[in-house]
This record gives sequence, structure tokens and C-alpha cells, in this order.
Amino acid sequence: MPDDSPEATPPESFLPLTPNTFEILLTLVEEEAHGYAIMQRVEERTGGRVQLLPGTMYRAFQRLEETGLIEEADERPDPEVDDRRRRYYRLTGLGRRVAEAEAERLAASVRAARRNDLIPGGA
Amino acid sequence: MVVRLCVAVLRWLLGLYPPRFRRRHGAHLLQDSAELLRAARRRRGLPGLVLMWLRLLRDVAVGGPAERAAGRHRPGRRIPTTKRRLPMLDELSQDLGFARRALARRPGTTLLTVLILALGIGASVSMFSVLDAVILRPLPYPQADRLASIYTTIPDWLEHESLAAGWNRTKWEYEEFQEWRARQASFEATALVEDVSTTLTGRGPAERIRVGLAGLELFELLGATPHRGRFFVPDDEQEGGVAVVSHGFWQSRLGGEEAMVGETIVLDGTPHAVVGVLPPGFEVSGFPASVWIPIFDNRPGGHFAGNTGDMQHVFHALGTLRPGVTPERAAEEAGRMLPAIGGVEHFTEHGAHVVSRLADETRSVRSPMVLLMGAVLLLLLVACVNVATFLLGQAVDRQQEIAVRSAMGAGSGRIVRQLLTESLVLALLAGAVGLGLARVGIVALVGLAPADLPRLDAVSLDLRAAGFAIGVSTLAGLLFGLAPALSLGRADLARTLGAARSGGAGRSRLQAAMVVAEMTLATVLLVGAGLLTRSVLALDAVDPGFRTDGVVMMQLAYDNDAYFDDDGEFRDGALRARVYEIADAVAALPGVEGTGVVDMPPFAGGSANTDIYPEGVEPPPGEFFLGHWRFVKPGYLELMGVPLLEGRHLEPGDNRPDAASVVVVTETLACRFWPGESAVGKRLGWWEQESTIVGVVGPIRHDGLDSPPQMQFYAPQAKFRMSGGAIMARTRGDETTAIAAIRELVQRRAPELPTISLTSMSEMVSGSLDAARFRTRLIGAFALMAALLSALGLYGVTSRAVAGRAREIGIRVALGAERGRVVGIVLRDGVWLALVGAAAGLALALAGTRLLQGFLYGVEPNDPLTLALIVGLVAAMGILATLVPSLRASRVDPVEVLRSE
Repeated sequence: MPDDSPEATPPESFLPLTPNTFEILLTLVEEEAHGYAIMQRVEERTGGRVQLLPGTMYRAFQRLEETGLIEEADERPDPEVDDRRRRYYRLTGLGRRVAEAEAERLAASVRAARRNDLIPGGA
Repeated sequence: MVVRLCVAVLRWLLGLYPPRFRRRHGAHLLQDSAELLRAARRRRGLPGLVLMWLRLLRDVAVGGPAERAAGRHRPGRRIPTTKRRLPMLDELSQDLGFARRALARRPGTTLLTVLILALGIGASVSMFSVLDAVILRPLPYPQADRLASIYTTIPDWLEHESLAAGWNRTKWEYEEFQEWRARQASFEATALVEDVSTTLTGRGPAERIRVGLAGLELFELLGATPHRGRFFVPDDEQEGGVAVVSHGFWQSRLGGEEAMVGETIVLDGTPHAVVGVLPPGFEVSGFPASVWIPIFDNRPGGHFAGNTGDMQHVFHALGTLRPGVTPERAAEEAGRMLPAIGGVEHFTEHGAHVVSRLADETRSVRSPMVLLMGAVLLLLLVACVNVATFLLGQAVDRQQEIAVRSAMGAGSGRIVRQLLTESLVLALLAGAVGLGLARVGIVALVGLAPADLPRLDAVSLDLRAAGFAIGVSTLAGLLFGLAPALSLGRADLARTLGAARSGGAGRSRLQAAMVVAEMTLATVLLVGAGLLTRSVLALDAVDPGFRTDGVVMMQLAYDNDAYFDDDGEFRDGALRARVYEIADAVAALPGVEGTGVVDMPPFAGGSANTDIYPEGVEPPPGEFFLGHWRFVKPGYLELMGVPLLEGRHLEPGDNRPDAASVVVVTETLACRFWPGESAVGKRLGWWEQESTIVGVVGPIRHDGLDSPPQMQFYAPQAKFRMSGGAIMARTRGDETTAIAAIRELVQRRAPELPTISLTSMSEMVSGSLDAARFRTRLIGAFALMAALLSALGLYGVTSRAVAGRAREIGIRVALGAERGRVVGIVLRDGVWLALVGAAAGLALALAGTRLLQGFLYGVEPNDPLTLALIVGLVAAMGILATLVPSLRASRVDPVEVLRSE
């Protein structure tokens, strides 16, 4: 169980992240977004490889909120969906650090893969 | 349609998820699912939609149990540190909504508390408006914060009782000022100013007006530019005969805009050409003259020349301090320069005193205003405590309501905040009503205030007053809201839903303490009012030393120019004869018993003194004795009813230029120099000659009822070639008709003499107490209001206590206790509260007595009689307030009480 103060938890303890989780965090790095927007952007960015469905996504939100990686931002009306209120999420400081840590981990893996000629571009 | 069906199924499947998850995410989940379905249909039509729906079904169906299994949704678990935080504004609007509803739910309470608070706030705002206009608002000149009065000081004057008060406010001689100003470095601009009385003729009936004497730089220093024409230039001082007038004077007397340029006015017989007009509304602070002439008039015989004649003319000085220079530094610098410059030879250690002009102008009203402000704030405090006590009393009724809010998820901090918001809304509402009350209050205050209060006409309900109202209301709201909010908000949830009266004991103790606090504050105000009232009564009873009833004072202005003959000699004999002629004519009127003539009547603000040399008495080395001279026509002292103690009064035989030099002295002077002996026959030196004392009269208070009797000597006018002054007439019967008759006579017999004033001495003397009466009445009013409020508070608390103890009382009665005893118990408890409050109030009042010292006369701040009276009053109040509840207690029916258990 993570303790209640995010500052005390080392980011590394969250790694490795599931692909879905990382995609969500990655999306939130740019700006705060609501659920549907996150779904769309992940699909765009991964070219359809990763498709978040609501059930999965909201479970992930629940988990991420509980562990203090994301938090709720304002709830404001979505101009496209008149009258319906969207809940916006954003990264916490810890969430940002965790995303960075995971990105670094993935980058390290890519570097290793390149060195071992698993993927082109080794140095 | 299809989408909705699909979503409906999904919603049903959501039941698989834990309830907490459903509450938090369910709606959004379904929303997004619907979006996806619609998007899928747009892209790939119905098959796409169905495909998406199947995927969603699986997602949800699998996720639900998984989420449950993850076991994260045990009750009690909250999402840590990512709690949903409402934006501040949302919370505030929610709190406001709560407040509005809560206040509307109890209209009676709300109305009562608003009224009580509005009373306190209204009184405070009214007083603040007056305070602001009179002493706070800066003077209407540029750099007014650096404008200062510059005085010289004569420390020697501290030795003399009658001069001591003015030792550091002496005026400048013309040459002395010019020399100092050339050398000094503390001021960036300086100017002299003074005013004198002169007779204005040629513009309607002859009139006595104040004419201002302006140094060349005066108007510029005060930031005025000519509305028309110009101000004074150095040539004017050589040529003379010019004047600058106020805008109002120009409009009303000189025709204003329609007139041609170059009007002339005649002052004391000398024509002055009007060369300029001051801007509209402009006034020189402290010198309300509507006509100004240059201070230096080098013409021979010029009346206002700075350097001619036997009488030294002295002037006030104003200056604008350089930025960063304090008044103290400037005074120090001047103090170093002045002894070198020389000046009045008599006095050593000539120094300087520099003080901000605003402070100087307001110095006599500063402390009374602050006293009144303090008193009204005390009243407001009583009102706040009163309301707080009242709200605490309501607490029992509100416990259910609070408990419900707590169960709905509001933390105790939130509840306290909500309750405080409620108090603030109440307070601001009261503030608005108070502002309305203040409009009336201001009118009343201005109407009752002594007319000589400076800037009284500028009192208004402006933005500053509104700001004060808001500030004071907010503070009041926090003050009275804190106790009930804390008391209610932190009540333990379980306890309030359980026992009926738990937490009540602490609360009722708090209420009792608050009532005691109210009584304390009310006592302080009552003590103040009591002491001040006794002072006014004491002052009223002071014997000024002369008769006042029926005595009318007529001050005439003489066109001095008419009494200068061609050689420039002043024909005092002719003027004196004229005055005596008028006095005799007035004495012959029916309704007038007799008349007298004196140069400076008492209570009219004039006095003159000189050094005296009493026979056989030497002053300490380097010092001198001071006596006040009065020139009279023999018969004056008798007319004024001043008792003759020894010797004789002045006689007509003494009133000749060739008569022997004799004087009559007051007892004060006689006892000072010749205690135990008779002063008759002793010699008194003054004005470079010696007089023989022929009589001693009773003490006379010249300056005011609270001033000590002066050391005076009365000399015959003709002997010393003095003339002019006031005619005192003793009337019988109706004073008003006598005054009208006198005025008519003078106008008929002496049309060339404009009268300055025709006043009743008894009005003058009692009028000198106006300021004291004003503040006494106000503080008395505040004290009574505070007493009333605290009595109400005591009544309320006692009533509640009786209601709360109904069970106990019923049992006692059932067990045979006499009803009388029950009444006694309740009374005793109530009076005890009142007495504790009175004792604490006494202690506070005694501690703060120094503050009241300056306003008291003839009574000490710790006067036992007054204090005892007040304590008695408060005790009586206590009895009255608790009487009704105690009687109610005695009528408690034990059967009823026990049945309702």
C-alpha cells in the first residue's frame, strides 16, 4: 500500500507501468484532459495500436488517483457536448516523475536494443 | 435510439462494479461509451456500432469483478490527497446559500440581531463621519501633509499661570521672522498670516468683519491661484491700499461675474482697491476672513503695519516642510537660530515649536472626539456580545440542523466556516441598515454639536464612512460569530444526536460569561457618563464672580479714523464721550436698570496683561509678576454685582486724566501679594507708573467657568486715555425685548457704529459649557443603550436558564420548597452576574481613569459616590432583568414538568 504522502514514495517503486497506464500519463504530460479526450489521443498517437475502452480506462483512473499519480482538475462543460460536464484530470508531481522514470526506463531498453542490433541505429 | 439501448445494457452491467466506483466514474463511463458507439456508427455504420458494443460489453463485464477483486473499495478508504477539491468560489457560493436559508428559516431572530447590530454600527459610523471630517481628513491644500504651523516659544511663561498654556504657541515679530526665514533650511516655503477686526463701510450698513493679513507668499504656499486679477506683490507693501477678496465676498458684495473690474472697499475709513479674487471655496485654514490685505503696510499711520506703533504686532507663521524634514528637526534648527536673531528682549531662551497644521487646528477637539469614538465602539462591542449571547442561546435549537450537515459529509472545519459565513452575512446586512441609520445619526450629531467644531459642515456619509461601515461590520461579524460557530461546529456528532442537553452546561457557562462581559462594558460607560454628568453639574454651579442673569453685553465697533485729528493725534476723549453718551441713553431705557463700560468683558475671549510691581514684593530673580488690566468707567464692577470686600469702588472723580492714579484689584491679586494684610493703600506699579489700590473686590473668572480667577486690576479709562470697549447693560423683565430695544436705540442714535454683537451674558456663560454638555449627553446616551442591551442579555440568559432548569425547579417544588425560595434563587443568580459585571467594569474604569482626567471638573475619577451609585444602578438593573424569569420559575408546575420527562 502506498503511503499517503506522495513525496515520500520513490517514483521507481511504480515501475514498470502497464502500457495503458503509461499511455494515459503520456497524454497528460501535455495538458490536462478528460476521459474521452484521452481515449482519442492515445488512439491517435499509437496509430490505433492501443485502444482504451472506458471500463479499463476508468479503472486505471481510479488506481492512478488512489496512488497519487493523477488528480482531478476542474470539472467544466465540454463545448462540444453541451450540458454534459467533463471531469478533467492532470498529472501530479509524483505522476510526472513516474512518467519520466518510465520513459527513461523505456529509453534505456531502446538503447540496449540498439547496441545489441535488435533495432537499427546502434551506437 | 440504438445507442441508448446499448448504453442501457451497459448501465445494467455496471452493477458488477463496486458502488463507490459506480458513484465516482459510472456516469462518465457511460457517457464515453455512448460517444464511442456514436463514433463507431459514424465511421462504419451499424456493424461498426455492434462491434464496438460487444467490445464494450466485454470490457465492462470483465472489469467489474476485477475491480471488486482488487479490493480497493473498502468503506472508509478515501482517495488520498487527490480529494475532490471544490474551487473556492463554488464553496463560497454554497456557504452563502446555506447562510441565506438558515437566516430565512428564523426570521424573528434574524430581524432582532440585525436591529441590535445596526444600532451599534449606525452609531459608530455616524461618529466616525464626524471624526473623519473634523480631525482625520487632510487639509485641502497641496502637500497638506507637510504644512505646518510655526510658533516661537517663551519658556519663561511657564511660570505664570495665566500664560503657561500658551508658552509654546507665541507669535512672530515681523523682522524676526524675515531674518529667520532667510537663514533657515527646513522649510521650502513660509508665510506670515494674521487677522484683525475692522469696520467695512460703503457696501451696505457698516459692518464689523475679520480682515486677514497675508504675507506675500501666503496664497501661493496654500496652492491658490487667482480666480480673477492677481495676488499681492512687493509694491503693494509700499503703496498699500489694495485688497484681495474671497470668492463668496466677490459674488455677494461686489457683484461677482457681472461687475466691472476695479471695485473699492473701505476698511476703517481707508479705501482699498480690490485687485484679486480667491478661488471658489478657498479658505486659509484657521483664518476665515473674506477680505485680505498685505501684512506689511509701510504707509505712515497704516493700521496694520508690521513695525509701527507702541503695540508690537505679532503674527502667525505657516510653512511647508521640506520632504523628509520632521517638525521636531525644524523646531530644533529654529531654536538654535532664534537667540542669535534676538527678538522680544524680555524673554530668554526663545525657541521654536513646529507642529502639523492639521494637528494644530484640531488640537482642542482631538481628545474629546477620540473619547466619543471610544465610547461608541464600546457600545458596538456590547451589541456584538449581546448578539453572540443570543445566538449561543439558539444553539440548542440548531443542533439537529448541524448534525445533519455533518452527516452529509461536512467536516467540522467546514461547518465552522459555514456558520461564520452566516454571521458575516448577518453583520453585513446589519451594516447596510446601520448605514441608513447613520444618515439620521449624522444629522442629529451635527445638529447637537457645538457650533465651533471645525469643519463641521464637511461631515457627510461618504466612501470613507462606507468603507468604515464595511470594515466594522466584518469585524463585528467575526467577533459575535466566532463563539457560536466554534461551540456548534465542534460538537461531537454522536453526542448531539443522542442526549438532549449535553454540551449545554459548557454553553450556558459561556453565555453567562458573555452577559458578565456586557455588564462590564456597560458599567464602564455608565461610570464615564456619571463622572461627566457630575462635572457638568459642578461647572454649572460655579460662580463666575459676577452677575449673569439679565446682563446684556453690547460690543460696538468704532470707526477709529473719525477720531484722529489732522495731526494724527487720537482723540480718545471724544470717543470716550461718545461711548458714555450711548451708555447713558441705553441706561435710560425702560427695562434697563443701568449700564457699565469695560474694555474687555469676561467670557468674550479677550484679555490683556502686563508686568506689575506690587509694593514690597520682589519677584524671583530674572522673573516678573503678571497682572491683567481692565479699563472701565466707574460703576462697572457694581453693575456686574462684583462684591466689594475692602476699601471703595472707583468713582467718577477718578475718571479724569488729571486725577490721581488709582486702581481696584481683585481678591486673587491682593491675596497673592499681601496675604493676611489689607491691600488698600498699597502701591502697584505698571506701565511705568504707580497706582494706589483703593479697593479689593471678589474673585472673577474671566476666561471660563473652569479657569481659575484672574489676577486683575481695574483702572479708570479717562486717566489712561483708553476708550472703546463694550457696554454692559443690566436689564429687568424680558431680556429679548430689552435687547431689541437697545439695538433699535443704538441704530437710531449712533448709526455710524456697527454693533458687533448684542448677547446675553447668561447665554454666553452657559454656552461655554456647550461642548462639555454635548459629549456628556452623547456618552450618556451610549451608556444607557449599552445598559439596556446588557439588561436584555441578562433577561435572555436567565429565561433560558429557568427553562433549562425547569425539571430541577419542579422537583424542588414537589419536594416542598416554597415558591418564594425559588424566586430568590433565580434572582440571586441573576443579580450575581450583574454584580460580577459591575465589579469588573469598575476595575476597568478605575484603570482607565487617566483617559477621563482632562474632561472632569470638581470630581475625581475614582469618586466613591458616583461609583457607588453606578453599582447600585447595575444591581437594580440585574434585579429588574431577572424578575420576570424568576416569577416564571416560581409558577413552574411540578406535575407538568415531571410528566414531560
